[in-house]
Amino acid sequence: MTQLNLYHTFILRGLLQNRIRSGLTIIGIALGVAILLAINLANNTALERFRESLDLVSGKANLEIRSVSGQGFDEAHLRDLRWVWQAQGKYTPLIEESAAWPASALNQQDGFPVHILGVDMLADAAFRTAEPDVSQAPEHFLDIFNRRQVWVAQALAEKQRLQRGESFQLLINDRLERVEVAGVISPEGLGRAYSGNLILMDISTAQDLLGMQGRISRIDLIVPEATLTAALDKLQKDLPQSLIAQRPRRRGEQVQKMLSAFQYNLTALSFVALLVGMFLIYNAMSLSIIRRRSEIGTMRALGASRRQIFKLFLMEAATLGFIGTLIGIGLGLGLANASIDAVSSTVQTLYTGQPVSRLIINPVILLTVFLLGISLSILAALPPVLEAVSIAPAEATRRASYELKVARGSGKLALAGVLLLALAWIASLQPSLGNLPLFGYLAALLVVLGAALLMPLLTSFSLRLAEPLLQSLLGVEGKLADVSLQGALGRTAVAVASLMIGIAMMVSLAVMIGSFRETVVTWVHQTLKADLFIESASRTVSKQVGSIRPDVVGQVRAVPGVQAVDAFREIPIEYNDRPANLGAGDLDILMEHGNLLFLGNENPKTVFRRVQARPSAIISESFATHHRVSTGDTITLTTPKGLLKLPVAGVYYDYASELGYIILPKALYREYYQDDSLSSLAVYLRPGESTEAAQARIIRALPDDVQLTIRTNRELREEVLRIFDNTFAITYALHGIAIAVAILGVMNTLFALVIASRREFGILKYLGASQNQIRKMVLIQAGLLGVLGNLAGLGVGFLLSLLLIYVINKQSFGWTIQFSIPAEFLVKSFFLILFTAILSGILPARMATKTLAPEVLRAE
Amino acid sequence: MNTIRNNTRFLTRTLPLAVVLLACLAIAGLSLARTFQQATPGYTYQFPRDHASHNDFKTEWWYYTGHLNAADGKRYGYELTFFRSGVDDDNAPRNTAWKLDNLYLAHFAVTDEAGKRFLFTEKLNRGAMGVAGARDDVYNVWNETWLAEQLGNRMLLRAESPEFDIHLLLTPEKPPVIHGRNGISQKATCEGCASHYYSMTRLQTEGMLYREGKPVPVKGLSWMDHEFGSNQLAREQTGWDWFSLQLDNGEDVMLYLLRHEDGRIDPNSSGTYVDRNGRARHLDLKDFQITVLDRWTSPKTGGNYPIRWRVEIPSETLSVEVSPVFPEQELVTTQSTGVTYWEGSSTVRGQKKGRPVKGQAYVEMTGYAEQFRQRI
Repeated sequence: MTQLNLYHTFILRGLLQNRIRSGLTIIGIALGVAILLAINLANNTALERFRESLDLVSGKANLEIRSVSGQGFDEAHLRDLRWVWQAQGKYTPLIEESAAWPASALNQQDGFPVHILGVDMLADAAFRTAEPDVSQAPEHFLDIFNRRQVWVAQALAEKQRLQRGESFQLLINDRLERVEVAGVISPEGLGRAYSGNLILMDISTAQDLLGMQGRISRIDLIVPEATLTAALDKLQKDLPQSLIAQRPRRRGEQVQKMLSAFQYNLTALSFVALLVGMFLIYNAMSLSIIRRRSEIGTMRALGASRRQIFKLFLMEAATLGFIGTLIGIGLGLGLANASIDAVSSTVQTLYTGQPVSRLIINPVILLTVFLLGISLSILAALPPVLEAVSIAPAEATRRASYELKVARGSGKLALAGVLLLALAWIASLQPSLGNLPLFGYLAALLVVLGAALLMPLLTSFSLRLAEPLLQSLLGVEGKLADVSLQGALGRTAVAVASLMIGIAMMVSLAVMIGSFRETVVTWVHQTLKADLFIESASRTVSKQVGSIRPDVVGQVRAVPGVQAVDAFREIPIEYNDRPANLGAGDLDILMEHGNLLFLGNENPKTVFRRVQARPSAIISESFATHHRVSTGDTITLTTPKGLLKLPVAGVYYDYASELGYIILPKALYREYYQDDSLSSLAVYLRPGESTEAAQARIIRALPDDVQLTIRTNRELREEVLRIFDNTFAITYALHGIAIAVAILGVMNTLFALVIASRREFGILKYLGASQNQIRKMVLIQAGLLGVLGNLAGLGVGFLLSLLLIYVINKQSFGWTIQFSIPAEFLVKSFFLILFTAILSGILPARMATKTLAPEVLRAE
Repeated sequence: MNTIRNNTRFLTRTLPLAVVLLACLAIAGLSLARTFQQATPGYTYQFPRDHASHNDFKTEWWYYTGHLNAADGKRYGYELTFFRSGVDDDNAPRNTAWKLDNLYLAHFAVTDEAGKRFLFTEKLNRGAMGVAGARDDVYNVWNETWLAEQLGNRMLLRAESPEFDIHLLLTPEKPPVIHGRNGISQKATCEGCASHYYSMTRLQTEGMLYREGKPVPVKGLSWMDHEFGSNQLAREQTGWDWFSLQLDNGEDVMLYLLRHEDGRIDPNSSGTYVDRNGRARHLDLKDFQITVLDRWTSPKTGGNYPIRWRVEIPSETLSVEVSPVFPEQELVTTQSTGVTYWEGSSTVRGQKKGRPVKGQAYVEMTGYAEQFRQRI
């Protein structure tokens, strides 16, 4: 017989005969592959789209000058660039900002951030291409330079049904500004940037509209490639330290670096689903081999070589893996399309402010996932296949020999498991590599594998322990169910392990997210002391933009009932090539009325005294972690007025931004950054004042045209938690899928048990067992698997959550999370999973009851 | 109006500027909130003050053309033009340096007679950050690195292009010649349809021409036109033909014909005759005749241009033939004015009072390649 014939008769027929079981295995793999693919595609798309937008906005520029000390810089620097013309080059200023599209109650539409691009319309064609839609061209060329004329990218125009000549409002800082559509830009060139969420205008209009008189965001340069290095050198020498010249691509690399921690975490999570899928393959292959031990023995006796047997079973695994992976890829594409909004909205709010419209199907990712799916399937099948190969022709006829082996070897496996757990402990103590917690991931993987190896021993131990209990509680069916599971220890252990992994993942995430949430709640309660919080309406829509005019502070302070106002300024900066936030506040007001929690339980008063004694900064914990600085160290800020070296007076807990904060006393900030605009106000009321009444008084006291969001303490706390929950929405979805895969594993195992126990069922029936008793037995087994998987999952999940909280999260984002257990959630999910596991026993139970006694006996 | 079609490729080719080019383009249908001064009779010129910019007028240009003999024996023609076009600023953003109060345009063309090549570069900028500008106190006009400025009694010109750069020093042989009557040059039969227009008809020129970076000393003769006004042309005028002749007997001639849509020549067309001592005499349309001897069709734009002329001024007993050094001297200024025109180095040959006379000329023709009016 040829190998192919053998494959047909032996493997394919086998797979087809056990359609349900093969199907479950395939679905398991497919789900794992789908999640991995979807997460990677979505992440990749978010990044690629952002990079594409950078490229489109940079256009033909091969150098750019931008500020590392806040948004924008003095346009007078353009005057120093005349030499570029002599070097056959060109340069042009650019304003790149965002504004907010105001929420509309009429259209039931939330506000959203919009990209604003201000270019020199006269010079820009040399740098970028933007094509107006033919039917939407300007009435008159000079319209472009009018005060309120803007060009809207087609996607945005269509979304908001805008046509030439119509006007619309934008939220800019604390003002509503009306602008008029001069034309619509078709989605080519610049019109494609930011997925068309773009408004283009002349630089004069942009400065006027954004209140950026005299300031620009960037200078783009086109320099002949031959002189580029020389030009870059000259620029770096000439420019003040607060400005940097670089190739535009560099910015994309920085963003990529910034996103990597976030994306690695998602990818690592998605791997867990695949891991569960691997267990399913392992499970299926073990079953397939157990069922056919006698056939293998016969084939060996007839002269089939070990190699042939080996190949045959690997082909079975490969077939399952192949089909599962193919389906998984299809599923993953669908899932990616569906989840792209969720992933990108997280990336958008957290990092780039870039909406992502269409999925990019990266062939490299597709191929990698495909190969990974198949090779992991084969890898998972290796242990049982190797076992099959080692079957001696004579031994094969004894059905239970494999299970015996597992039972005998469970001690050795457990030892290996303990070893892996020890290695995990060592890995967890290692520092991050390039701000990525690679050793943390390794430790998590080792914990999962170690626990899986411990499973046979723990399972057999628990089953033996439970035997008398089950008999007394559930009668003879309980005992029989337990004993039957003990007899199939290998399969049982695998089922428990795969359920364990799924549950462990869910538990660890739940504990981590729950702890994190609890930490944030506590932190919010302890540090958000003000009664009212005021920010510009545009900042409410988009975190990155929006200042308040300075005179608002005085107006708010004068409102009766207001005791103090802490005016806070916040700007994005770069520190050591990494984005960070620079803040400036009224530290004395904060000290008197507010609160900050400092690392090492330091008294805020001590820290503030240090700041008062000599100019210094306080930094947030994530900044301290990312830049490896702590109290007493010196940080060097690059300001528009030169370098500013400051000692760190204290490190405070903060969960507002993983990029980290540097906080300066306001006077120092104003001196070095020459900026007196404000980002937010914290208002402290006199004791006994009604918040609502004060809020109403403040609104009355402010001019009508000022667009602010005023939130009470409670509203802000709710908002913080809403943002928190949004951020973690995708992880909730992920662990749901992992559980589904694990439940499939339970069902799969039960089918196998039922099939393997046909003889026993037949004999039981023959001996007078009722259908009900047999059904009950199978359901008890389902319940046992559920309980064991749940317990193991809780234990391993607890270990993983420690890794997530103290290693992976700490190293990725740099914040301390106080460990807490979301008991209610865990208890609920315990019973939900147990219930689902028992439900999954219904189909196998029906199958078992259908086994007819005479049929089985005839087979005997 | 047909602007939509013309403006569709707007940013790709940068904005075909429907801005005023030369005297040809009147801004029709645009209400001017910034009230520009009209060119009215009785204007008294003061030099060198009047070389500088007149920001009260909407449109202003400084126009240099010249013929250069290089040390290596080659001959070149050049045109270097600076335009300023005041913009209606009623709706312009305030408090920003980028506020568009003037558009600055510049054209630089070199005619390489030996190489039979015509190379042309253009610039379009606003005044922000000193990129381009025109001072109104002293003569200093620039656009990026290109400039024209007063240097004592002389003028300095400088322009760069990928192929040719020029650095030239111009010394006037004659005082400025004021065209028209009573300080204004009438362009159409309506009040204010005029400009203030004078020429420096004979500027001894020396300096350097850089051919792909290699310096070549040059000498020659240049002509400067400076014109400013606010609302010169009437609706029915479609373009003009302009001639500047420098004869080897020391006399210079400026003539222009304003053409109507129906092919009629506008009665306000005129000219100026300048004798060897710089004394100028106004010429009415009836005082000269221009006969087209040949036509040429541009392969680039399809514009059908006159290309050889007989110019006769009976009162001076002058009869000369003007022919371009070669016909391909058409400028398609898509990146600045958006207007296509022909401006070419030409030679002059003929008779004055029965005696042979030679010379050199620059001819400018607008409105042949397209309907100017449609661009607005």
